[in-house]
Amino acid sequence: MSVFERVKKIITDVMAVKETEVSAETSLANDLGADSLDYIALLQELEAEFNIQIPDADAQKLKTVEDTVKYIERKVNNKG
Amino acid sequence: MFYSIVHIILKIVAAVYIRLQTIDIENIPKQGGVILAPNHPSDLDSFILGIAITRQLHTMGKEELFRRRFAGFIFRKLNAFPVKRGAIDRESIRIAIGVLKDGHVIDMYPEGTVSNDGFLQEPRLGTAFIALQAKVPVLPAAIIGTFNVMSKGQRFPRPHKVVIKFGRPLYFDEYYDKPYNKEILKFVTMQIMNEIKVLLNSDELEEANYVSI
Repeated sequence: MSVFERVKKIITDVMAVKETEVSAETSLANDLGADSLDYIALLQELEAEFNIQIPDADAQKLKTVEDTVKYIERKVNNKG
Repeated sequence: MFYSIVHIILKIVAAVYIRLQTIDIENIPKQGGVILAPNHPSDLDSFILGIAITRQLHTMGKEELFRRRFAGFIFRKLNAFPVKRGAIDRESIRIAIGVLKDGHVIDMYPEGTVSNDGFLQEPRLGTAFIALQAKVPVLPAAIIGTFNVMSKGQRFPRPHKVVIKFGRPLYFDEYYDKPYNKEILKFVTMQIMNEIKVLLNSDELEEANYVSI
């Protein structure tokens, strides 16, 4: 699975939405209604899935699904 | 040691100034991690709860309270730790879960913030989230009178009787180790809030005419 697909799966699970509701442009807060607790759960799941650390302060960079995918890809590449 | 000394002094002050009284305090488990979850009529609720119970209370305090070095030092000595309100602050959640897993008592307010008018507000899900992550019971409580002692925005406390009635521990074991699910968090939160409402409306408080507002 690509990073996008893995991120999308986590977002659909955490936000309890259908896959069709999630695209690259989807805004986590505006379109899916993610609040701070959702973000906390999201960060936990992303960290576990990709074996990375995400500082709390970086959460504000993850506005859309695409932002999240790019952020994860950067983190994973830097780790390698 | 510092906590114990302050506790004794404040207990004496509270007995005179706010005639602090508790009902069913024996419902608090003697050991093990537990979240005390009361209504939140005043900024003083954590202090008064800490004075009322015999076990040491740990508490989350807004970050601003810790900015001054001396105040921060004192608050930490009194088992408080900072939380950034309105921000994504996993560090404070990790601390809270760690404290609970170490077998301590924390107070958490399902309403999330102090009430403007003393009445119950719509709950938030943070208390349920931490309870399920730490895998500890939640003990609902009703605090009556602290709104009169010091309501939101008031600077100095006024003398007024305060009564705290403790409920029975609520166990949510069947929801431990489940994936993050808001419906479960809402259900757990509603269980806690319903118990708080029952306690607030209990005959014992009404009969004693402990009018809070």
